[in-house]
Amino acid sequence: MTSRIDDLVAGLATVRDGDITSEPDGAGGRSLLAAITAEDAPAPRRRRPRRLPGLVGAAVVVSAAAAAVAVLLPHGGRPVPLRSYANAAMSIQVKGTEYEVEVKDAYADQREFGKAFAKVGLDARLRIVPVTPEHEREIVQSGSLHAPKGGESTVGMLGMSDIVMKCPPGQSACPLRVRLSGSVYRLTGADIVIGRKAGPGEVFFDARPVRGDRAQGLRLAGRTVAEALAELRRRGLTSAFTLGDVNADGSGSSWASPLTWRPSGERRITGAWMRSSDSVGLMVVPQQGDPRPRPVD
Amino acid sequence: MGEDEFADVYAATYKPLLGYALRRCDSPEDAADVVAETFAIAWRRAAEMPSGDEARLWLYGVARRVLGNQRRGARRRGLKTAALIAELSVAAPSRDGSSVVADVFGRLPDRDRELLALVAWEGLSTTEIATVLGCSSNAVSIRLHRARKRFARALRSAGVDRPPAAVRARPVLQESDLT
Repeated sequence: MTSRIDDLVAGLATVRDGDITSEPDGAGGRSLLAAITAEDAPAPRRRRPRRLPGLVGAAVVVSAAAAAVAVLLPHGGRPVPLRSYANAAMSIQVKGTEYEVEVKDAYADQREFGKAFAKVGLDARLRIVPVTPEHEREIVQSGSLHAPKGGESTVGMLGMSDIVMKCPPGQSACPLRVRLSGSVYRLTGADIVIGRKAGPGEVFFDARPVRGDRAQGLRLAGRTVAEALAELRRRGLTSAFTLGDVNADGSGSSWASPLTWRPSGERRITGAWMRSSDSVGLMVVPQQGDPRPRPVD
Repeated sequence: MGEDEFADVYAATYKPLLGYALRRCDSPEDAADVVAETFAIAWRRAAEMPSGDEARLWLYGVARRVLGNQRRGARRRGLKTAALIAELSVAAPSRDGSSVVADVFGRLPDRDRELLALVAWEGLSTTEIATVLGCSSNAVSIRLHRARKRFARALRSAGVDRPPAAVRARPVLQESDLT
């Protein structure tokens, strides 16, 4: 019954997206966009906490030298270290030389995480981003935020990050802990990116242009753009193009084209990869007249 | 989100949003208003808008509320939609109101109609509909099951015992397609 009912409803659609001739870059689309963006600039982000599926609050444990503890609150004219801090996004408890952070809203603006770290003097940035299934609940990127404070040398200093993310058998949601240790973070700050399960259509943070086919069941490398797009349409997938030339070892250069840009149909696909659950990244070698890389801010 | 990034989302979601509005409004003018108001809200709340295809789902959710307000008689924004309306007037075929099936569908509760339409018109999965409606997938599955049963029952009551066979199927990405 179900499919017949759905098909019956489908037959009632008066318009299909493919029938619409109005384009975003046509007269109507452009004038509407201009009218909208002429209004006041977007307000800063404020949103209600939302639970991350499969992640009951993320806990980050930061271990560093006690001397690194910040001194932010004035007290009797002298600043004293905060022993705990909480905002809508996360809470931090100071336990000895460790800092245990519970993320209450894994989808919070990362600036909220940054504020919380700053309150206890930790120069850290935490981002929780959608990733490919094989990198869920992993640190997908970590590094320093800036050059060493005071120009101090970091030669010989250690900086280690670790993640503990083992749910007990039969438990689908459990805390995520990251441990940062080593004095180097006191000088350079910490930039931590943790992978989470991507929602439908969310672009994977770790999706990278590759040479060849990196999507099982898809054989697009070497085919023409027209053939590849037809195959994706047949599978109900969308696409986004990347221009560049990446070698098998990952070296080379590439840049994303504007979302609506399409190369001519006879050009050849050199790489294809899943960029979200329902879209595929396609790479072509750049030619004269193609979009150029956008300058980095 | 900056203006360039918003323009990218606008370009990627413009047609799906137009389709969503045109399929639910009685006139191209109303559809243009819904689209204009939806994108205007999205611009004001750009920092809350998710990235990737989830932006489309988020926008459907906004459009659904805008449509609800419009049906309650809210005032039109008066944004510059004249050129868009002109384009839509050419694109949109007229609604065929003579079909018994369409009449039965039109008499369903709004909530049932929207659920069935999100599946059949927008091609969304239960998970995606849950994102649009802000509820759990389980709740969507249950409501959808009931909506289909109510529609089938209403059709039988109207004397439509044998609905036409399937007319189209939506390709679905299998897990095995992923690396």
